[in-house]
Amino acid sequence: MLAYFIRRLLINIPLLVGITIIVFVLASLMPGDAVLAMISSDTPVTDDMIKMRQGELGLDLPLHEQYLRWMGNIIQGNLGYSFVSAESVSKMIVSRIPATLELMGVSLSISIILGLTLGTISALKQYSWMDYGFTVFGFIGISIPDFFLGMVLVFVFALKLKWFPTSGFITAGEEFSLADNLRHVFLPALALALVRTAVFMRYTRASVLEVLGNDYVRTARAKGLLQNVIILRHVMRNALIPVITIIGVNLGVLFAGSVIIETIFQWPGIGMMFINAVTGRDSPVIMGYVLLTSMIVLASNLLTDLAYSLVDPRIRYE
Amino acid sequence: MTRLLEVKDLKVRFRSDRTIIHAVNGISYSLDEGGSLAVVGESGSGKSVGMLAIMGLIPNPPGWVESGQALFKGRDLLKASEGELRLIRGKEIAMVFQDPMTSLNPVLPIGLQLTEAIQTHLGLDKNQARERAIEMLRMVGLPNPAQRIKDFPFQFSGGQRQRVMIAMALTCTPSLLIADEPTTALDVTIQAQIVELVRDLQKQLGMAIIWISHNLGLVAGVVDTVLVMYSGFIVEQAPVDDLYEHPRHPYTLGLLHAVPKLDTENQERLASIDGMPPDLRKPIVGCPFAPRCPYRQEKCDQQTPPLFEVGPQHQSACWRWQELSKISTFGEPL
Ligand SMILES: Nc1ncnc2c1ncn2[C@@H]1O[C@H](COP(=O)(O)OP(=O)(O)O)[C@@H](O)[C@H]1O
Ligand SMILES: [Mg+2]
Repeated sequence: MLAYFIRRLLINIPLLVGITIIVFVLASLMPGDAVLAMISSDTPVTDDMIKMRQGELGLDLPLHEQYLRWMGNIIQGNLGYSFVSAESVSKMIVSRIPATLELMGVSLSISIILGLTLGTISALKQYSWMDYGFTVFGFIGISIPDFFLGMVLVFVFALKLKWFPTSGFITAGEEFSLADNLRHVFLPALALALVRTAVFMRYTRASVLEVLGNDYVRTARAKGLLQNVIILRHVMRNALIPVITIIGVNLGVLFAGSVIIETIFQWPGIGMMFINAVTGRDSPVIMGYVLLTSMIVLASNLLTDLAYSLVDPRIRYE
Repeated sequence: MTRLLEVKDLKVRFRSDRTIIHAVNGISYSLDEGGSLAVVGESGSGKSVGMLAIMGLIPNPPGWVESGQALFKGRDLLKASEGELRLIRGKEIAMVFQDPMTSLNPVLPIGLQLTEAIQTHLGLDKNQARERAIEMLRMVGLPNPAQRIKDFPFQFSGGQRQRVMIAMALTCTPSLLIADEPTTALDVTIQAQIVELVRDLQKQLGMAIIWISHNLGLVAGVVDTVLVMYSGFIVEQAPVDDLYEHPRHPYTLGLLHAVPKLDTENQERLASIDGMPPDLRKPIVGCPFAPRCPYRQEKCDQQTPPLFEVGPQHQSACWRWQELSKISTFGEPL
């Protein structure tokens, strides 16, 4: 089990190196100077200073040595400084990632719980009115873009019904309270969750239907087990295996998708930081974001592998 | 002997692309407590479906029981509710399926797959159920049961898995075991071992058993009665020795003693019966075997023969059963 996980981790290392090389090449092609990015703004900037810093930073060195130094910096957590605010990029990321993870987490929980439940019900009641209802909901869910849904949700539930706040992380000027924060996260999380719910539901339905036809489900029935035990223990456990892949793929998609939703809802996460960086042509921040995104995708691959091996012993013992 | 199971006029249908498949077409048979019955017939003749029906395990859709009775200890299983059936399945009637590779859940340890039935039906706690599971695995001859109980199905060979399936079926000492071609997917040497094992266990536990097989030779030694099925009909039923010595249906004759034919390589081999079983999507008119039967007459095409009493506990659904006593091989002229 541990060996399997370590092996998966090692397989990801070349990928990670590849990604950093691409990011590095992009960074050196970026407008703006990496030197300037590395100099914090309270250092007085003169031409001499820059020359000196260039020497210090080794920008006169050959490219591969520059890369190694750059990697060294990254490993130590130094991603450079924002052109705009002169803040350290890694500090910016660290301070903003919790909000994004919260949004992703809530939205993913909603879509996994709803998607798996509705998909399973749909499969168990195949061709019933509920199945058709969920199928229609699924098609709608897949075809509505989440930014549009976000705006509709704001309009209906925040502006008209006033059940939820329109935007922000907490009510401005108030102390942080979890209840208040959850009220704020609900609409953006829902906007992000709908598409995923629909996708997970469709995959779960198909997967459960396939598993139901398996011989071991008939064996479970022939043993006289309770219907709930048959569904939860024998059917779901197997049906989950293909669904896990889809959930894993959606982690990265969700991270990218949060950019627009965070902007619509003024959610102070990584996505909003990225949009601000793009509008301000703040390349160090953009690079930091790109690097982070790749890491998130790799991490979700690893998580997927881990979840796989928890559900399927054949992988664990491979 | 008390009657354990009495099936009367059982009919099972499936819907497929707007047509109805006539899978089982009014079969009747009975089995005493502790008795043993073999059901033989080509693949697709309705053997499995006939058994699944009495356990209430016909997948619906697409299938359903059209009519009939299945009296088990006097209760009609075909009228029992799902809740009542659940208490009978695994406890009173257990089933071992054809393919041990797919019949066990691949993601659960075999221990859990054994104990869940024990806990459901016998009300034992976790530890007692585990003890019982180990005892059962030892009984079916699985080495190291206490360790192996933690293993997953993919860690066992085909023969071992079938032993696990048998242990699983017998944990609650059912009064009826249905073994649906339990050896078909296994090597020949293992086949004999499994048949032997089930026979011993039957003697030990005193249960009744229904063997489904398309290989009469394999189970002939372990059953009292044989029931021959063809396209959803019972065409002949007799005590095993009587069936061997005095088959009274051409299809049985074909299964048992086909005329040896000379092959292209000049090797003697047993000819199989020429032709194909009838299309089950149409109701069958006349004798279902008529199109393949060398002894067919005009009457056979028009009227479905009933099961004639042709001897003590011996029935045959052939219009010409009396004349058949004159021949001993299939294809030999009458
Ligand atoms: N799930 C199903 N859907 C449709 N038809 C089925 C299904 N199961 C069985 N049948 C039909 O019932 C007939 C009998 O099948 P079965 O009892 O499995 O035969 P066997 O004698 O080989 O066990 C088959 O010819 C098949 O057409
Ligand atoms: Mg079968």
